[in-house]
Amino acid sequence: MGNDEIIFRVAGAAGDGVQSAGQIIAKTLSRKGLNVVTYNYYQDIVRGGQSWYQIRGSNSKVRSQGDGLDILIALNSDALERHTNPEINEGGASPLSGIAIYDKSLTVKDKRNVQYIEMPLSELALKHSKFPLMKNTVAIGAAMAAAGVNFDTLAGVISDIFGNKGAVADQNVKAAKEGYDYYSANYKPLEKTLRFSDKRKYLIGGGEAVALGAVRGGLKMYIGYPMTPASSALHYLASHSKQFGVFVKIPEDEISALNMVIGANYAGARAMTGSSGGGFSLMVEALGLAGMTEVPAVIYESQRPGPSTGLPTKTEQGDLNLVLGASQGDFPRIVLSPRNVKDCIELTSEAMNLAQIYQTPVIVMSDLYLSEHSETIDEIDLNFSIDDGERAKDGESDYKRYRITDNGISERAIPGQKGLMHNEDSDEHDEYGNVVSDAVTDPKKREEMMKKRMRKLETYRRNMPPTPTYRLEDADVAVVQWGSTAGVVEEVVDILRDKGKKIGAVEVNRVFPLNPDIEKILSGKRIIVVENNFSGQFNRLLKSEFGVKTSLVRKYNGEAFYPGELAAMIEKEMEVN
Amino acid sequence: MVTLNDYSGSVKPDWCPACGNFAQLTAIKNALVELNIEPENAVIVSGIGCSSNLPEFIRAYGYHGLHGRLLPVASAIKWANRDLTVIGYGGDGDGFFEGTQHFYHTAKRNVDITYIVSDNQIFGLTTGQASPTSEIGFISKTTPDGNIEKPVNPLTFALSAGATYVARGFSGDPKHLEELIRNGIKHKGFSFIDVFSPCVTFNKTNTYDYFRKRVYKYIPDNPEDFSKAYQISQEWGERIPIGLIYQKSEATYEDLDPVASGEIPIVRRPYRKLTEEDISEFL
Repeated sequence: MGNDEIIFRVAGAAGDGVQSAGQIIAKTLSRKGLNVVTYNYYQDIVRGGQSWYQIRGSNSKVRSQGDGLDILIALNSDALERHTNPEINEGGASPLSGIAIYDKSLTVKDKRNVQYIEMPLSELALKHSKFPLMKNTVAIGAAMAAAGVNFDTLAGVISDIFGNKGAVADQNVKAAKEGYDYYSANYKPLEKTLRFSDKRKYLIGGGEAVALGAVRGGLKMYIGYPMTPASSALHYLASHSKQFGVFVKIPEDEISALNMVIGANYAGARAMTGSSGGGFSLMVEALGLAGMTEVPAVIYESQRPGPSTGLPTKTEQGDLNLVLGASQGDFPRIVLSPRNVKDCIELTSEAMNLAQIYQTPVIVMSDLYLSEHSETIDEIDLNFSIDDGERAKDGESDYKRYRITDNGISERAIPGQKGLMHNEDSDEHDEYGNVVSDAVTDPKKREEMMKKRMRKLETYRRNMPPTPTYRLEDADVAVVQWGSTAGVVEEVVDILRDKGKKIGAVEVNRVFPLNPDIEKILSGKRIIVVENNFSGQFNRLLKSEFGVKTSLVRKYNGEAFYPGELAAMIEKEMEVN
Repeated sequence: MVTLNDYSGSVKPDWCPACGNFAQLTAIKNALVELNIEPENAVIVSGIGCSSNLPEFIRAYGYHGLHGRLLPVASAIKWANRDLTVIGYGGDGDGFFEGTQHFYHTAKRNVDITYIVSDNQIFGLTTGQASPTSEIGFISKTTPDGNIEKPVNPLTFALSAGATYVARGFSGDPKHLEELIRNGIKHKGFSFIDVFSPCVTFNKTNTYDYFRKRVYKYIPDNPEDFSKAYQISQEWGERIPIGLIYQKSEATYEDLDPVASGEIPIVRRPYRKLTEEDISEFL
């Protein structure tokens, strides 16, 4: 860890206010011009258990939750022990090497080589409020003093967050001040070389970013059934429904959700749904319906570890096979895999257009790690050019909804358009939409229609933007990743470059179909595929597509890769021939 | 003026001669003409089954989707464009087996669509298996010793779900059926019309004759009387009521939703550009 970065961790039980405390710290840092990445470690319970929230802030670009721990706020004795004891494995997270801030009522099990900042957190909090979680705010004040952040910025964040709760905001600011002053009077700030400024950065969660990207891409209706970790997008849209004019609906199940999205798109309104693998499994049938009837549909699929209920609050990239193979028969589908929060915005907007242009389902694959963590962005490009694709004109003569074309794309007509009445059918159909499967099965028409639909995929492949790479120019080794592991992979490339390795990364953020340019990019390089799953689902896709030899680095314990951990795994792999 | 000719499709129905679906196709067309609804503003959404092939046989906008899933598709079409007349059309297997949860929730939501079920008490397209409305003792390919499972009562189901227009028609009385469909379309809210539709090929029990002997036209004194409606809907056996069972005026889902309720249908509203103001909350 560089001296221009700082890592905080708030740890306690569910219901202790871990996440809110973490978010206050993250926002304070982003308002002081730091680059921030957060990490949310929690369990599938509402009260109890062990959860923690990590905030990494830096003057340099940060792309993962990072290694190391400077400031721990421990909300119970177990947390104090757990995050100072190097023997306890939290899925790759570093134990504390800096200071631990905690209430004096907690007990220290075994003294470690860290600085213990025992404080009268509850006593100081009680001066302003009886609300028990107020002691967290005192601790945040102390942590900000330790980090050398000025108090006014923290006070501003607290006021904004509790702004609509009247006196609560004021009480929290006072409690934070108690902690800030107590720390300043008794302890020295950490020795860091962080440079603060008042240039605020946008701090956005991955789920919110998908929602923003959808709105930017013309979203008019979002229909989704709640499921972690896709719900953050649903919540954001529900609370901003009137602001954006987006219709938001929770239907009876995910089967209904995707069928509704199909109905809305058929009627001409851009609509989208979102879920995790479990909910997506219920959408499988309707996915093929969208493919067959050539109705646009955008599906946000945020992965969590399966099978079945799996680990509801953990991360994994284990749904690629599901998404690629979902629904019977062949039909074109497009799968995008955003790498970070910025990609979540931009690729979701892109998905909204692609679904319209190619009249087929587009799936945006994220995961819990990306959906439930926040990152800073310097700028958000608000401009996006909406493309509704090929549309028929009112009254067109001899209108054929599924006209056979060279690029596979036929003009759509929307109900309400004069003279373009037609049938869209889940049965195989002819150019007019009339069924060819019932009375007289027509093998030739079937073949033509199959080819027409599948040609859309070839058209898309020809129009795909180039695959992003990182420090690959003179590299002998290419780390190939997809989705949310891009940030940590870039950091690992930097670490290994510093050690003299000629290594770079290929960042596949459009995972299906694969861009043909990848073949050239990989040519002559040793390929190491990094994936957050057991069987190497993307690795298999890459090998079958390009016939390349690869080695595979995996993690599937529910946690995301940490940079040091992944660097060691890749180095070890590089030693093997 | 819209004429019957405007709704004439180019595809000939593939149903068996004398199938109950013919009368319903005619009744739907007549009702739309009578209400002077332009074909471009009518959308027929269907599921899977013999009856669900109907959208092809009428010149309107048609969407022939999945078994049991027509109601979510139809609801969202209505929400996207309130100016359209949306009719859902499917069979009893489609609606009361695989579509059960959608039927319940769509009725409860009071979406302003009309749902017509061609109820032949058997699976026709898959060549004759017991359906959710097959009676006890009914012999079919899957119940060679007679059906032992109680049939679904679509009317009580719709009533308890909260449908605001519940009616029953009979393909053997097309004029009466047309009136029920017309009033169903006119009704602002979820209208449900269960139609006795004899399957002349596979159901040798519930035939035209079977129903002609039993049905009588029920006319409620007070269509809003829920208890009475519930009671009538349970009549079965020698005398079976057809006609309007229940009707009540209630706000529709799209009236209550702050976004869908706007004067201009969602589909015609301009795209909204993201603004600095929108993203300022993240600073």
